Amino acid sequence: MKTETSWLQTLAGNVLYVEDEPLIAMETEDLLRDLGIERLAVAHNFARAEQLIDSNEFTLAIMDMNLNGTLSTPLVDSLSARGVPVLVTSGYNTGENFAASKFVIAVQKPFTEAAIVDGLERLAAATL
Amino acid sequence: MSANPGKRAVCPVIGVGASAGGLEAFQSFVSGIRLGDGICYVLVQHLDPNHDSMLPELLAKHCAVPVEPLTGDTAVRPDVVLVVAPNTALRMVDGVVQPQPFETPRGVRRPIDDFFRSMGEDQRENCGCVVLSGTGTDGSFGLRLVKSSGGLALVQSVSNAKYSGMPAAALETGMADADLAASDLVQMVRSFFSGGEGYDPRRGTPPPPAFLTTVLGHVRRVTGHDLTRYKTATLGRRLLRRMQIVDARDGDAYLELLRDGEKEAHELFQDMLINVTQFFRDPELFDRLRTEVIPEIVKGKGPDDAIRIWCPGCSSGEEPYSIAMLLAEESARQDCRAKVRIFATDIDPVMVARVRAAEYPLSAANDVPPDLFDRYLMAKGDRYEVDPELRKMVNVSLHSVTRDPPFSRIDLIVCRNLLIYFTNKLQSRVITLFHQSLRPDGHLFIGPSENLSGHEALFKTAHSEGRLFRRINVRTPFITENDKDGGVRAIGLAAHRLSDDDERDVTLDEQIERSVRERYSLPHVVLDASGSVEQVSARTAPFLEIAGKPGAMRIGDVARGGLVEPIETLMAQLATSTADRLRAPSVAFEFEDEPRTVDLYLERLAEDRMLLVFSERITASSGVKDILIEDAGIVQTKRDERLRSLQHKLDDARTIARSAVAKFETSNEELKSSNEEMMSMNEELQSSNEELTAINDELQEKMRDLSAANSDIANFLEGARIPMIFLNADLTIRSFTPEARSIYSVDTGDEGRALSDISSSLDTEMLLDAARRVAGTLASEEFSMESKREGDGRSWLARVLPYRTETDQIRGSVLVFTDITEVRRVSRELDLAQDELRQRLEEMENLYAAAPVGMLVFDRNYRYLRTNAKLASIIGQSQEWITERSVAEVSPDATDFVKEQVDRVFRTAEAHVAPVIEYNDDNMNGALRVFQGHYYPVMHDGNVLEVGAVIVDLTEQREMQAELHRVMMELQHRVKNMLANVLTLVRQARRSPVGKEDALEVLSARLTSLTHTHDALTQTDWRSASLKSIVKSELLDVYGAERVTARGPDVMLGSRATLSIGMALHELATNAVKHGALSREEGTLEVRWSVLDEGDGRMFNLVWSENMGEGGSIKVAKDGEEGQGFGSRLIMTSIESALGGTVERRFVSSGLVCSISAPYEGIVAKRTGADA
Repeated sequence: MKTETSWLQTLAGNVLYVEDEPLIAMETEDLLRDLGIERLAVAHNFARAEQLIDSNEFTLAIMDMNLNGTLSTPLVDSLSARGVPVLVTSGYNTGENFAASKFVIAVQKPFTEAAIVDGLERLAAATL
Repeated sequence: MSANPGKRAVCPVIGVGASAGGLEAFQSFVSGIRLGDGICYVLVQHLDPNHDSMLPELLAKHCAVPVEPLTGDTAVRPDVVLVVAPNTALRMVDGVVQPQPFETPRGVRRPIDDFFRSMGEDQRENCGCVVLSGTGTDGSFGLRLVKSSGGLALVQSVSNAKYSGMPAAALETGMADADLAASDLVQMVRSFFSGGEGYDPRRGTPPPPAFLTTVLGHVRRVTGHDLTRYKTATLGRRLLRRMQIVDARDGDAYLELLRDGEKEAHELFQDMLINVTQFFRDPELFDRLRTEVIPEIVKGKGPDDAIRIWCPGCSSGEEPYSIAMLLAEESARQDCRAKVRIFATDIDPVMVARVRAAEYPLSAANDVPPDLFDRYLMAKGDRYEVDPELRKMVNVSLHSVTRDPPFSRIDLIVCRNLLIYFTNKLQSRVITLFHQSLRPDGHLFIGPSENLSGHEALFKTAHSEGRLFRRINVRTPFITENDKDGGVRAIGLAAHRLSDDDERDVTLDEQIERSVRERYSLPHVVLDASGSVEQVSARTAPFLEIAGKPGAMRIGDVARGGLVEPIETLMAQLATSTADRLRAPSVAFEFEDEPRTVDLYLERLAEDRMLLVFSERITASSGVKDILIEDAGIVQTKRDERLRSLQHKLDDARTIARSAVAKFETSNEELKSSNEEMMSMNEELQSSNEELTAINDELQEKMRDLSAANSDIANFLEGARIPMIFLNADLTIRSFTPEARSIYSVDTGDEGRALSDISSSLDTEMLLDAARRVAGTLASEEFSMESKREGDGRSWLARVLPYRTETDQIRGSVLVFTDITEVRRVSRELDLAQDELRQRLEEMENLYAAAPVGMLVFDRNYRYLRTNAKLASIIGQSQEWITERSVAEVSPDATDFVKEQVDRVFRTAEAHVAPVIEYNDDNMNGALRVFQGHYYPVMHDGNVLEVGAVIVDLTEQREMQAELHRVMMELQHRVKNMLANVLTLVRQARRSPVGKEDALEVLSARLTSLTHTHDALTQTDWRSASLKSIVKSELLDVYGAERVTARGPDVMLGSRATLSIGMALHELATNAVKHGALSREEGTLEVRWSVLDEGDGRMFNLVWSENMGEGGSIKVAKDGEEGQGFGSRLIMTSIESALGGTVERRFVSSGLVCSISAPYEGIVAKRTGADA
């Protein structure tokens, strides 16, 4: 699992994970930590995420598209505008709800670990 | 001629006269009249006084100008036809036509003459006359007067006239300017009055004297007659008239015509010498007659003597009466009782009639010396009548100077202006004849342009200026009967007849025969059965005393003495004898004092004629004489005896003759008077006949109209194909149309049968009832009837009308049937169609009213013709307001768009769906509204009449789509989340350190719990779930109410809270079953919750209290046991992370107490909004 570290070096300075679903958040948080992310901030709702983004400099964000009925698009746009790569996880088939940016890559829910890693690698490649 | 003319009328006036056959002639005549001719026509017709005339109506159809009956005084005016009314005479005074009652009795009226005369005297050159078809002679005299006044005289040609009597008589006057077909006469009138350059007769301008002289020179050169002695004014007037007739532009044009040939000169000459005579014409000559000639004639005449005057060619008789006046005067002066006989003769029967009538116009007063006038002319109406005593002196007869034997022993011959019509040879013959007629020293009085040159041996001038001659008493030369060159040049009709006889060619054979007969044959005469001499050969002078022509002479009167008895004896013998030829030899007689002897032969000829031949013996030898001398005594004795017997015979004959003469005189008088009567009767009959003919014409015309109307009706009835039955008042059939057979079995011959006897497809009684009613009420009836006949099925509309005659009498009724079968059928179909239409209309109205879409119809001007309520609501105005307004007014913003759609439909005639339009409605706070229009053509006869549109409101649909999309997205999100949750649980189970079986069981329980929670959520549309229902499904249903107590208000949890709290309760229960109170049978569980507000906002608190029961203790989970870690973490994450709440776990003696607390607003389902 830790064989690939290129994206880690590039992105995993200070990571934000936003997910409102408790079970998924638990599971993914475990996954991310297993992948080697050490500094990981988790937010379960939009307000908390906004608060964290305002007060921290993140190097990567992994963010659910729908936060208890609220689209996370503004957060994604705000981050990508600042050059922060965002991996968007979404139950939706399309990712047209946010602005096209090389810093944003979407992963379909339910996702596998490989899908998350693949997304992060592509983000890292795009960011370089 | 000398009457004062009246005031000139404003336009020329033409009198037109007709009698029998007049209607047809009038119609032809007036058909030529054109509006703008500027001529007034006055039509005079012999009409039945007791009969209304239809003449004006009948003529109006053929005439371009108004036709008016003359019911009162009517001024002449241009472009009108005035028609005489029945029983009125017309006269003209100062250009006004005045109808008057007749003065003369019916039968002797001459209305045409009377009017022509009156018109001619009143209007002179400004008038004309036309004589059309008719019998008799009315019009001829008037025509003479009109012409002599300078007016135009026209006659319908004899061949063109239905009855030629009047035209022929008018032509015989020789004064007609033209005779043409009736239809061509108007053209002549028109050209006559159109006026010529320079010489307008209506202005009466006389031609320059030099011109007249030139013209007269031509006439003299061609005709040999010098007219210069005639009155210049008269000649000038007639010359102008002539120029108008030949349409000569001016003098030069006319001279050219004269030079062109002799014809015009002859015709002008004839025109100029129109023989209208007058009383004492050339007064100075009459003066000489009065002072010199008449006294001489009267002088020495005893009571037994006769004064005999002859006026050949006397015309209308003024001259004989003038002479009569002079003679009467002179006779009275000399107290002479001699009988005066004036023979007035003319070849014109009209003139003869006028002379007999002896009535003259008032104008005559100017011609007659006043003393004579007072004595011999008597006023009679507007005319003068000659004194009856004077009339007795004048014997009038029809006589031709050239053909009929002359009168004899005449004292004075007055023959003026007659010779000029004759050629020189004929003149010569007539002059010789006059010489023969006159007594020794008799006088001849001729016209101013005539002379007796070449006859100086017969007459000597008594007064050269006066054309008065005295007979020289010499023997009258022999007048040859057949003088080859003795014909006259054809001038006038009367003269024409003469030329026929005299100019006949004589063949050589005839010449030889005549020569032999006259020169080498024995003298002979031809006698008729009574002994009258019919024909006399040459050289009969020794035997007969005949002068001139034979005729009315008995042989006994003309045979010389000595021949009479033998001839009469021979005739008597021949009458009784069977022999054809008898001879009386050696008859002695004396001729010029010489005894002669002749053999007489009398031979019977054909046709009861006898030929008497004189064969004279030449007594050359003296021997014969001697014998006669010897026998002288015997002869003397015989002669005496014969003389005595003759004397007796003579006495007897005288006696017989005297009584015969007396008888004859008596019967002659009777005959005369009955002749007069007959003549008047004849005229009356003729007049009635003309009236009848006129009526007949009118009736025939009426008949033609009637028969035309009849045939119109017949054709109409035939063509109309309408069954009609005409009923008499007694309800029998009067007549019917062929189509009536479709109802009644009528056939030709059924007329007169009762209608009820005829079989019919209809109810006859009903019809007859109606017919009876109609006869009473006179109001027509109408009703429909059905055919009774089986299988017929026809319906009829029966109309029953009263049958009215022209006089509005009711003569029965008329049944008219109209087949309305088809009408009814169509009517029924129409009703059905109308019903259906109404239904359709209602359907459409309903559709419009109920349709959830806006519906409307536009016309070409983009106006809303029809709208519905929905459309009104879409537009936001009332239906009434929108209707009839244009789109520009109703939806200004959408105008261009709508117009484009409407135009497209009008252009393509195809329906189309317009693009969706969206706009923000200002009336609805700018809410987005979405519409789509379906535009379609409303066709009529293949053309787009209007454009209809259906406007669909897509606003809601659009919203729904958006909502659906959102829900889809949400569902996707949830399902994916759910799957992610399940995946997490599965992974957890896989990683679980406990046995596989246990792990699966836990997983299964967790999934079941998740399913329950979802069920609860699904029931409320994933919005909320009741906390009680969650508690029930997770706890009460699983562990039983006896072990689980649940208390608290029912809180409706949001979906997130439902899942989190549901999961927390499940994990807590799972732990309790494994380790806590629920692991023991006696163990119980209490769950309480509440909502409290302690100043920091409402908080939701739930307390989970386990009671292990008697002796129970809590099993503490071993380290590493899955349940402890994951379950707890799950509860923590669910409550703390997701709900922002707190979880507190405590173990007390009775067991676990877990307190969950979270902001109420975070867990409760929101009342509104899309999500919880």
